[in-house]
Amino acid sequence: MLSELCKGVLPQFTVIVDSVENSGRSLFNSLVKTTAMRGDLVQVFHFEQSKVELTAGFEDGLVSQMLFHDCFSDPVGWNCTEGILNEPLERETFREMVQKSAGSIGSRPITVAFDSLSPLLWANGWPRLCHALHSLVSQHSKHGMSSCRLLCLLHCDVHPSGETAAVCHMANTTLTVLTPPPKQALSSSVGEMLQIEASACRQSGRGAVEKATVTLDADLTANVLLPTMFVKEKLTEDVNSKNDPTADLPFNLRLSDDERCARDGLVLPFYISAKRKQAILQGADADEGQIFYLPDREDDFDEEDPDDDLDI
Amino acid sequence: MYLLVEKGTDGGFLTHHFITSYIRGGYKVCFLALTQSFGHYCSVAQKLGVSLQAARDRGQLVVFEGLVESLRIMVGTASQHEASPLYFLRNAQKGLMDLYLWVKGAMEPTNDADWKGSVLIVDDLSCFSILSVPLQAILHFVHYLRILLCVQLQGDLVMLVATADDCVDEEEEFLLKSLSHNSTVMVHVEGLSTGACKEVHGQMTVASPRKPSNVQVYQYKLLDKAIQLFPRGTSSAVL
Repeated sequence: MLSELCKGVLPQFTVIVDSVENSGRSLFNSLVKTTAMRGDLVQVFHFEQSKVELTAGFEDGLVSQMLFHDCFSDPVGWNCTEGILNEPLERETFREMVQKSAGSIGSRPITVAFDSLSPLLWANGWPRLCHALHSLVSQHSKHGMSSCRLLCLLHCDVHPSGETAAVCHMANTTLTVLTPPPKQALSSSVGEMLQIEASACRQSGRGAVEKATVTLDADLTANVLLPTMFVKEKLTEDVNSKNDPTADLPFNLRLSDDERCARDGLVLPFYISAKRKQAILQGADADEGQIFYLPDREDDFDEEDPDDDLDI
Repeated sequence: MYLLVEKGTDGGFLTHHFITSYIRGGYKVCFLALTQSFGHYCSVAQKLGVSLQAARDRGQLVVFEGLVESLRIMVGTASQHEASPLYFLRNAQKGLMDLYLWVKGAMEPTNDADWKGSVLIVDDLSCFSILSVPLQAILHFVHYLRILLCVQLQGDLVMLVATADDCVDEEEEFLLKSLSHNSTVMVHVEGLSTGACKEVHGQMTVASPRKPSNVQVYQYKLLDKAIQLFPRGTSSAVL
């Protein structure tokens, strides 16, 4: 999975989750470059890097084939332009921008990259952002656009964990940058080394997790070293059973048909039905209480009054 | 972009170091002094052999005196309020745009002098969060400063951020992390975990988010006019 990603074969929605200690920016730049080299029309919404910083290490011919939406220079309009973060994010905002830019290019597959989602998440909150991203991924075919893939960078340590999880939940593949083992950190003189955990969620409900060390060369080429594959069986079911509070109950919460019939037929001892009420009111003999006493053979039956000595 | 983080200790010596170094190096310096008076910085710099007043007179140093300006906001007239870059203290909706525009005006290149480069020093950024400026407004302010200094002027941006030793609140942590993501060099200064010491005043960590494997940790001792740095555990008092 990771080796395919490093070759620029991206699933529909990929999120790179990083932190200050383990930055994923170089991996993001690398994937943007590789995707562009594969022939995709890459449209980059860059919020945190200038175009120059972003395309450092890219060939000039490659840069000219890409499209850049500059959200970096004036995000909130302080330099007298229309800031993208000033207006609330509409569901169709990104789709319209992508479609407008791609209109004149032709029918190359489109990859939209966000560097990063964090300013958008701060400004708009996760529901609006998720709607906008979802619209970008799902509705492109209705509007005559060719297939569109998303590649996003997200800083997990600057948002509450729930917001990050909400965005990652939409993604097909989440690449988390982890702390590299100390030995690898020491031997990183060959290039930048990143420890990546890739978790993919397939449509079948199965999830796959792969951990690998990725090296990044000076020309941003990513190579996978020694991948370790862990397949989580039926990831979605695991999650459901884990969260099911009724899993280990010692009783049934539902009845079968036979059990329901038996329950309906049972008359509770304190329940007075109309028939029984009528019988009590009429004083029916059948219901009058009687005592039957059958003495045993060994019983010592005393004829005397047991209260004789009380002088009553 | 240099991010200086002081955690539970006084990292002011770093500010003094950067101001005097840049003045000596022939840079045009814009200084947002939000925590101390200009007189304080002047006397420390004088001790380090640099006259800030002289630099200010020849136009090399532009100082925004936050304490003086905030007093004007508190007691001045309405017209003075609206003209002030700190108008956000009275009108929270304004944000830090006016202060950014003030910096932009102060950093505009002039023809009368040829400086090696431009630098903005902020001491310290935590003042804004203490004054209840929303986190997003602070991040926008820093973003625009970064564009102005690091992209347009190809200069440096040096910011000091103070964090509490314990009980770090979530918003403060988000601010620090957000700034760290876009900084080139981070310098963390903190006291020793074992407590105060006469010979070792604290620990300094220099890191770069772009090169996570390259983290350098030193211990330091503040001398009268200099900082003595040494690897951990190699203080002359120990060896």
